[in-house]
Amino acid sequence: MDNELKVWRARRDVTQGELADELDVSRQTINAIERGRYDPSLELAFELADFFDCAIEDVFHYDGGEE
Amino acid sequence: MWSREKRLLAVALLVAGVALGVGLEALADPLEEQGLAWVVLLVGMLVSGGAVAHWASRRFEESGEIDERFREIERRASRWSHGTLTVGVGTLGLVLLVSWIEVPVAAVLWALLAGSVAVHELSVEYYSRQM
Repeated sequence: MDNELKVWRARRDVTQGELADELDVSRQTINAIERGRYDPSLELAFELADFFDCAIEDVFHYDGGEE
Repeated sequence: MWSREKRLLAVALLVAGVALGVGLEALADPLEEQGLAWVVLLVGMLVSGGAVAHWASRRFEESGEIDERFREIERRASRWSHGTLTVGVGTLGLVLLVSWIEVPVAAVLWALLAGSVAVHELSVEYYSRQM
């Protein structure tokens, strides 16, 4: 699953640590999502979209399950 | 919520387990022959060890380090360590059943236990780097 988390984070001028604190996850998790190494749960994906006040598909794009 | 009372209870269990084991060993020679004192001591240590591990994991969880990614890593690592332990114990059982080879069962079981812990930790490290 592709994502534009880094872009959205840059737009809002939020660090990984600040975003992690806001969503109650570790900074490593935010980093892993940004690098495409970890696909978040649906709940966390919605929380991210909610934080950036956008639709979930604006942040995450399904790529057909390719690694 | 892990309360102070429960922590005190865990410590009390540890003390009671050790005291009972040492007491039985000192007082009852027949029991010592059967190794019961050591069993009580070991059970006391296991119970208190479990309590301390539970307390530590709760503290770790409260620190915010444990999230869904960490749980996924733990789940995958546990699958490997559980598999290692199952295969090891199964192999040991087979060897004991069908073979005439003398196997030091206790030592092998301890080695399997240590091995599964090592596999778990290595798996956590591996998946932490992967994810």
